[in-house]
Amino acid sequence: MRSLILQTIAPVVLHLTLLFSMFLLIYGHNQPGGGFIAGLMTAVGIVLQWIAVDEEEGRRRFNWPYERIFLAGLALSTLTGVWGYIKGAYLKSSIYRFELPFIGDVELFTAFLFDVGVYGVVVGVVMCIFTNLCEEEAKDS
Amino acid sequence: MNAFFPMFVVLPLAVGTFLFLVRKNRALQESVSLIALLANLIFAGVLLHATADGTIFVHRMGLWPFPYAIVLAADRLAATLLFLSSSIVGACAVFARSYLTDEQRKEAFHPLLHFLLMGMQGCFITGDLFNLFVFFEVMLMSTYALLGFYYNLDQLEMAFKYTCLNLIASALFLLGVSLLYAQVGTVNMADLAVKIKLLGPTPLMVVTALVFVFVFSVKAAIFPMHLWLPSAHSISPTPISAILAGVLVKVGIYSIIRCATLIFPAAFLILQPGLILLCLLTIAMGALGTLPQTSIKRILAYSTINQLGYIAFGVALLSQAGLAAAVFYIVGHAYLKSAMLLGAGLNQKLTGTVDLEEMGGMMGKAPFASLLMLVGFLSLAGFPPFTGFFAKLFVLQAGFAQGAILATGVALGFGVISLYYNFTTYQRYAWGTGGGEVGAAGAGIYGSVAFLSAFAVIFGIGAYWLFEWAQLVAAQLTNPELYIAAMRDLG
Repeated sequence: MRSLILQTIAPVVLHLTLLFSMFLLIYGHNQPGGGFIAGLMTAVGIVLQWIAVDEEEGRRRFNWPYERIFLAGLALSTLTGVWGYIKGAYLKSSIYRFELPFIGDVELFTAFLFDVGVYGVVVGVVMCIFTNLCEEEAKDS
Repeated sequence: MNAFFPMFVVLPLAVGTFLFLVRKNRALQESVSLIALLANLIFAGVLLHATADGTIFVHRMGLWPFPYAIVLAADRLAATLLFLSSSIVGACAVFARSYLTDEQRKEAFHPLLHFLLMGMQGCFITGDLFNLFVFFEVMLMSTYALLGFYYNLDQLEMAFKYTCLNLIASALFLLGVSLLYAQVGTVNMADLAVKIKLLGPTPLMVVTALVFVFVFSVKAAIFPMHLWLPSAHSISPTPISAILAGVLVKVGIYSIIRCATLIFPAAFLILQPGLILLCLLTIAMGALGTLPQTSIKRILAYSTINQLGYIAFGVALLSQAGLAAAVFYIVGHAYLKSAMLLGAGLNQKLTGTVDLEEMGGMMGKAPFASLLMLVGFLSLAGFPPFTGFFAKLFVLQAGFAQGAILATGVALGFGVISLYYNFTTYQRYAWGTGGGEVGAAGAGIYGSVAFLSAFAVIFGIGAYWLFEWAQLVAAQLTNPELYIAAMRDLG
């Protein structure tokens, strides 16, 4: 399916979606938001782009190692949880403050790392499912 | 122990992830998987020992304060079921090693097995109703994939039906949790118990309890939601069906026990007559369903329904004796049924079929295999001194003691049918005519079947010892104050 409207709008929307999903991811650990919806949003942006261009073009452009993204995310989340044991309980969040040149004070929550892991899992899984579904369709036709 | 028993969730998660990472190296994957399952079993034994004096371990994830934290809790019942699940899954993994060919055992088998274990163990130790839902999902996601593992048409059809049914159940589960949250504003089980007791059994609360009964009876295959079980247990790969019959259906029963003793005791008293009727129908459906079957795996599947009826009957009596009998039955049946399903797999390896019409005379051809099956069938039939006998005895005793004469009498009557089908099945299997040459099976197959069958014998001869433990478990369950207090103080 080719639609001129979709093709024109998709690249613009992609940037906005990615930007907003990053915002949700960074904002999320203590406020509404978080890795799950950020990951969904990123995946939706990519899927929309993929649908706008045709199948082969999409596969060429977004041929990322989704399986590895998913695994890395899962490993990161699990490890962050285990890290909490040092602080007394599984998944205990700890806060680290340090100063970076040009940026200033930075607070890093381990909860944020956990969220990044979740983000990776969601993006990876959604895109794995999507690419596999595309393949099935390609086989049928 | 308080800090470390969440390992039952974390360890399978971490190991499962690692096994995915090393999926190209089959030998490494398999050995790490087996070592992790052994560690899990040892750890479950330690926890079982630690809960024996009545301690309830509580862990707040992230150390958030009491009603807000996601809480994990391990009491005697949870520890018992953790030991059960880790030993059965371990035995099934050893069995799968020599049973499935390399082609059948795809690289995802071991990781999925660990995620399944994580889901089941999470269900047993969670103290939070919403997280029970989450762990149910983890468990189901893995089973969806494992059920259709050979990727042939039969399995995919069965897995699709199973998925659809369970998606409906999951949606209702979520609805039930929201119904409950709307009424009392919490999902922590201890907090729920206190607030629901204050509120009393309002009509809406009874309806909510009914929703949960429905959801869990899908998992536990209670009539009328038992129809998925025979095909799921007979078509799925044998090591998986052993886990399904041994542990997965028990997760449903476990959740019903938690609802009946901790969360909605008052509402369950109102629902009791209906529940007992459903249990009797389950017993009847399971017993009658076996009669026309010729495949050993299908017979075992229907017999699982039958036995689940007895277990649920014990729970539905809502008394300490009934719960003790149910716990005894759960443990006995889990080891027995998984041993028998693995035994069916052993016979499939030997003769290439699980159909009784195509095998026969196994007593002469494979004496050790038929001896193992003999133990299983005698125990299933309720023959002393095996677990099956004592399990039925305790349930029926509890029923008669409570004055439910008619219901217990009906349950006893269907015991005769189970005696009949077990004996005729074994007769055809061991002495029947037909069937060809018998092949060979690996030591891992014999070993895992013998390992699980040994429990059926040990818990039969040592029934007194197991029953004493079951009574301790039931004593803790009938005093939910202990659970609530532990969660308040530690949590």
